[in-house]
Amino acid sequence: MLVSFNFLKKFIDFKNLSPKDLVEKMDVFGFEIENVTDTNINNLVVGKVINCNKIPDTHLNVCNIFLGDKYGVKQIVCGANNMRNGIKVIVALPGAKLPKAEIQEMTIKGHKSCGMCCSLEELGIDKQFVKDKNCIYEVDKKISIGEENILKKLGFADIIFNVKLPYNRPDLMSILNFAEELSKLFKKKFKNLKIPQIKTIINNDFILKNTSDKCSLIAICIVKNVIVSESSEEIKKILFSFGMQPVNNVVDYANYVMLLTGCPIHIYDYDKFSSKEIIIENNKSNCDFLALNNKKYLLNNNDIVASSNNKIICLSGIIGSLDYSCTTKTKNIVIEVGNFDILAIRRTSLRLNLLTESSKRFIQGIDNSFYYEKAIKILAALIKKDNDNCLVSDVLKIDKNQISRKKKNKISISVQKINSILNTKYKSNVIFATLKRCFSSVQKVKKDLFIVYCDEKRSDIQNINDVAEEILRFLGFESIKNELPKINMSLNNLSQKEDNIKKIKNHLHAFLYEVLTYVLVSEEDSELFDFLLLNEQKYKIINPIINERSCIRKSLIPSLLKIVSDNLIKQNNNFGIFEISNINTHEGEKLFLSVVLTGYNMLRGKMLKIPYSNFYLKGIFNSICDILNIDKNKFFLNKLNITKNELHPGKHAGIFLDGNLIGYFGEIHQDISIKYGIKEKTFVMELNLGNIFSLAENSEIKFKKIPNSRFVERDLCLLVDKNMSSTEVVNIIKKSGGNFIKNVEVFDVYEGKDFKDKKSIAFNIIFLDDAKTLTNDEVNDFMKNIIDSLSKKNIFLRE
Amino acid sequence: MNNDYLLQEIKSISDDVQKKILNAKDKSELLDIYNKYIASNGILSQKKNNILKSKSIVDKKTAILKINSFFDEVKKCFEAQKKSIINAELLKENEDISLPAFDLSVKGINPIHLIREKIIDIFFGMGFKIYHSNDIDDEYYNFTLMNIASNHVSRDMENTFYIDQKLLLCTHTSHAQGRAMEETKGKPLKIISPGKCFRKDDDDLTHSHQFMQIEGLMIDKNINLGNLKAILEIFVKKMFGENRKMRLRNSFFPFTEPSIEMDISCDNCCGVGCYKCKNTGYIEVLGAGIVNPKVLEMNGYNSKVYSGLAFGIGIERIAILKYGIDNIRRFYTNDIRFLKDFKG
Repeated sequence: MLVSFNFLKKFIDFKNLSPKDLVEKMDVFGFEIENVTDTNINNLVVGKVINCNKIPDTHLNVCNIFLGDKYGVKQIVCGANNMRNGIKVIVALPGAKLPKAEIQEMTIKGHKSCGMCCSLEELGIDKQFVKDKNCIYEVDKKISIGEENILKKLGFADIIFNVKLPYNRPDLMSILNFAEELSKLFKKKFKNLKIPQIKTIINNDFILKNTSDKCSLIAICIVKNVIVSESSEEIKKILFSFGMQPVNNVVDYANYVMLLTGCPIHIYDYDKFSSKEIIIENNKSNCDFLALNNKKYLLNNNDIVASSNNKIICLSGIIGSLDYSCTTKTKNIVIEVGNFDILAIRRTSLRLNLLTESSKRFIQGIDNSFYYEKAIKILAALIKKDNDNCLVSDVLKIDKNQISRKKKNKISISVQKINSILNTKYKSNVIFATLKRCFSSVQKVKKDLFIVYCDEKRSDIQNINDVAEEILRFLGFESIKNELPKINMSLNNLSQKEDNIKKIKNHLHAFLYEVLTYVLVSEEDSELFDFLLLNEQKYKIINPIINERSCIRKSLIPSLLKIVSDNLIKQNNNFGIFEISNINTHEGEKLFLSVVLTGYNMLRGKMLKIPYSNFYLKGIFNSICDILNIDKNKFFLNKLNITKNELHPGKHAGIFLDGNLIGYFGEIHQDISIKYGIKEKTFVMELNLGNIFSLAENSEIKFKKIPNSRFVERDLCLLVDKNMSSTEVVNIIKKSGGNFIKNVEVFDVYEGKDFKDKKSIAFNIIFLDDAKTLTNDEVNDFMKNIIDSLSKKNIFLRE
Repeated sequence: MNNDYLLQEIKSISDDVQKKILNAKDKSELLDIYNKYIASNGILSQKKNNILKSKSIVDKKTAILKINSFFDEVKKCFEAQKKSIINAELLKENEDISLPAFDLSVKGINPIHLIREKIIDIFFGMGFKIYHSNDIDDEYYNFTLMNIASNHVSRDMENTFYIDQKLLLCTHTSHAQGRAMEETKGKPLKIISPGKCFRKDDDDLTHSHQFMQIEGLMIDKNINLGNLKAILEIFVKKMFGENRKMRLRNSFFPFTEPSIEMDISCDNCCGVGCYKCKNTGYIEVLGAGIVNPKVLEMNGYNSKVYSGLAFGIGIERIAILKYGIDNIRRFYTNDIRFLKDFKG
């Protein structure tokens, strides 16, 4: 809400309180100040043009202007139509900061110009006050030469606060209430507006109906013999300072009263009504409506409207119709005030993209029912002041909540309770005095017990905590004693899951960057890399902002690939990233870890680099098993059924646990590289950590005896079918080699043309008997068994 | 034969050998000398053996002692020279230590994760348990149980992402309050709950449709505003340093009453006022308050017995303030050069 300091001053005597102090304090009181605009401009002086000569072939004049004794005579080049000898003008001297430019000394067409003669528009004053665009402002003769506070003199210097009111205080949308609140907080005198008494002379000959459940109040009043003209400068300035455009005196008064009371008012032209009825309804579907702003809107039955003789005369709470509006020809008017459902107004306003001063107020949640009679009276009096021959009718109203509203909220306040909420030691008399400042009616029951009767406008005060907050606002935070809570001790440790995540993260930080990505992705991305949630129906957002973010992801990989591609564009190459995040599924959240590697692992910068590969990812997986103390042999690697070309069909693996897929890794398919614009070799891995953690729960470290005997090793170089995996061979070796095989490790693989459909794999076998060191002969026997078994499977020693 | 003569001969040979040893330039030269003189079949050894075998020696004992001392001298000389030759050779293998090291450095971490951990650590240390809540929840938990009116603007389709009529992407972590209270069934609790939040804002320098919060909730007998102030002060000092001042302001949230907002003194101007703090000297950090008795009652707590405190911390905001990050987009762009600066 915009608040003009000048206007506030009409109701509060701030005395020596500066706007800066005001802003600081208001902030603490809970009125957040979003910004402060000072419309005053320094370095302006009133001067008199003492001579003015045209520069040939231009529209410009070289003028000498007398600026008083302090500044003397200055030469200024000016192109305004009305520049002439003898007039008084506003001169902006070098250094003056105008809304659109800072004035500097310069040379124009060879003539020095030490400032600028200003139009009001150039001084940031609304166009409404500017008669001719190309004219500079001619200052009234009464204002003396050398006057530096000219904007203040003209009434244009003001300070505008943009105040963000708390949601629970819609009552402060009225300047009267706002000023009264400030006067209480600052302990300054509040000068309330006197509500005039108006004699009602004529009959209200309208019929009023309300068929809408979204309208709780409707009231109308008729005023005859009005004279519609331009508003006074004073009213215009006030409206302008609140960011509103003047229209004519009647409409301007209505807006002015809205500012004062917070109660939106609509004015109809009485004589435009063919039948004297107003019906509030919300059952018009597909109706065209021509609004005051000359735009057409298509209305439906969610919109609350006022109609008469089957014509829509007002989109209630938002804007009136052009046909029934008050114009310069209007003689008699109907004043209408209503209260409408917040939600309905908000929906309509948003749907039509039509935010008016009135709808803004309803959307913030005003309840103007308390003020409407006051508002109508003030408005009628203002109109009557312009023309004493006005005739005012009585007020016709339908007020659904009249009875319930009259009940005042009663809250009992014990001093002890207030002090225990705030942790203060306020004495009874301090609290009583403060309550009397906050509330109009406070009753003392006992020394330490009071009853507060809430003003009807303060619907936000409902229990003792609300009252404690008011006391806090009035007395500040200084008296609150800092004190850590006294609570019972209990064991506080990380859950197994949190602990596991922490361990894994700490480990991965040594070689991967940890990233953070968006949960919402495009529909297309939501279907990629969803191996782990293949049968899961995806969550779609019913009201997305953009299609890019319309689905909840089923895999982190697409988000991570996007990061890789963005980084490659920025010349960041050769890195690995990971993210651990929950994935939302219909069965609750699942915890995923995803890794993406691109380019090379720069082991020693450019001196030693190894291309990333699936085996790096396999290593990460193994290390995670190690950290969690899980036997990695419980997992089984196998190829997946790749249908969407996400992974390289030959270079990937699914990780299975008891036949269930719990993870996968692989090189990305060319199609994906192209889609994401990734030219480097890139590898991805995704693990369902939940599944892995479940194994970790039962794993405990147990001491194993370290043998004193020595091991014996043998190397074996074999020719194997190309399609055979090394694991298969290892299994044969282990099976046939006896119980003393401690380890079988591949140390070389060679695929050459000379082997045709075979490949050569070299194994290193470690034999160890814990009890004694094995002899060569014993080991030779084992080796013979192994070679025999291998040959039965068509695996022979490489010659 | 004369003892003296023999001994004299050995001495002159051993002196000679010592000279040769000292003149030796490398290991192989030294080895040659060794083989020629010192080894068991070397000249010196032979001479020694000859003397030992010779029957003409009168005072054998003294002679042997003498010879051994010559021998020791030669050996000492040999070892010393060997050491110096090896050292000289090692010196030649000079390594350029300025060459690149192996890259064992810890990689960068998105500062949001760093701050999240830091905040958790601080409150964990004060006894708050970590409570996990889903990012998707029912509007009943996200709004209704938090005392947010049925016509409140945040419930609108324009402001909140919905999956269906009821399910939504949580707009704050406060829904965890309702979930935790439901589980705790009217007993005292103290939790912090980190989570992702979503609002229908267009992504720009200061807005993000996704962001992270940490919710805090403590319910017990006699929990008051002084407790909240003390807890928040510890948080500020631990997070931003002992010198930062904190300031509380009145505010409004439907689920707390009284509601407060906490500011910290601006690090740029130390509270004097500058562009960063919009001339206020303070920067907004978080919202908090005493749990609204209505919320306690709605969630199964007897508000006559129990009271609570609650706070909500925007992790992005803390990260921006702590590290001086220029805009919120940085967190979700994950530029490697940006991440590099943030380590554990």
